Amino acid sequence: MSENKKYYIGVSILNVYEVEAKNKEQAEEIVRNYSNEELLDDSDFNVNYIDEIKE
Amino acid sequence: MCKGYTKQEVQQWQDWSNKKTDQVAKDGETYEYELSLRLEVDEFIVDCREDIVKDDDVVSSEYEEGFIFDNYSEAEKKLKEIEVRLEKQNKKIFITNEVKTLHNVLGREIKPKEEEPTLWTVDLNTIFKNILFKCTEDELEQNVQEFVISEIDNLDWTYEKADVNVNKTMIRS
Repeated sequence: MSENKKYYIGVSILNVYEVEAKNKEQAEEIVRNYSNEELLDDSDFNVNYIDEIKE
Repeated sequence: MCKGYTKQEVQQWQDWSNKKTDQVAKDGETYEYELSLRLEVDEFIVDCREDIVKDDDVVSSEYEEGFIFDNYSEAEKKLKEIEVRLEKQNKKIFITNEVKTLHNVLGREIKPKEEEPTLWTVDLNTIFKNILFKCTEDELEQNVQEFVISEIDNLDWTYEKADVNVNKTMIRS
C-alpha cells in the first residue's frame, strides 16, 4: 500500500457560453445561475501542475 | 439612446448654424428659453429655443440646440438636463412636453422602449493555484475532482471586462 504524500496542484477550468440576453448584466446573471453540470459540461478542464512536497 | 444624425440632418444643422447670428438683447429686452419635447414619426425631438422678449412680445428667436432620441425616457432625461442647466443660470424657461401632454389626455401610459435580446458570449476562466492534498498518488485524481465540484458551489465571481461583451475571469489562489 502506497503511503500518503503532500502535493500542490494547480487546476484551470475554461469555458465559453453563448446566451441570449437584453444586456451584459443579464448575460452574466444567466451564467451565474447555471448548475454545476451546466458550468462544467464541455469545459476545458486542466490539471496544470502537480508538485510533490518533499518533507 | 441618442441616435446619430444622418448626413441630411447634419447639413440642415450646418445651414441653420451658418445663419445663426448670436442674437443680443438690447435695453429693455430679456432672454427667455422655450424647451420642447415632441414626437415626429418614431423619433422624440428635444429642442431649446432662445427668445428675446420685450413687453411680453417676442422680438427675435433662435434655436440653441436640438437632439433626436429613439425612446421617450432618454428624451425626457435630456429635457430635464437642459432645464436644470438653464435654471442654474437663472434663465426664464418655458417647457412644453407634447408627448406627455398627449399621452396624459389620451390616458395612455408611456412605456420605456424595451431592449431587444441579443447574443452574448460569457467566458469562464477559473484557476485554482496550489491546492494542497495529503493523499496517496492513486487517490489524487479523485480528490482533485471532489475539490473542484465542492468549489464550483462557492465560486468567487470576480471578473474583468475584456471587450464589448463580458469576459469573466475567476481566480483563486
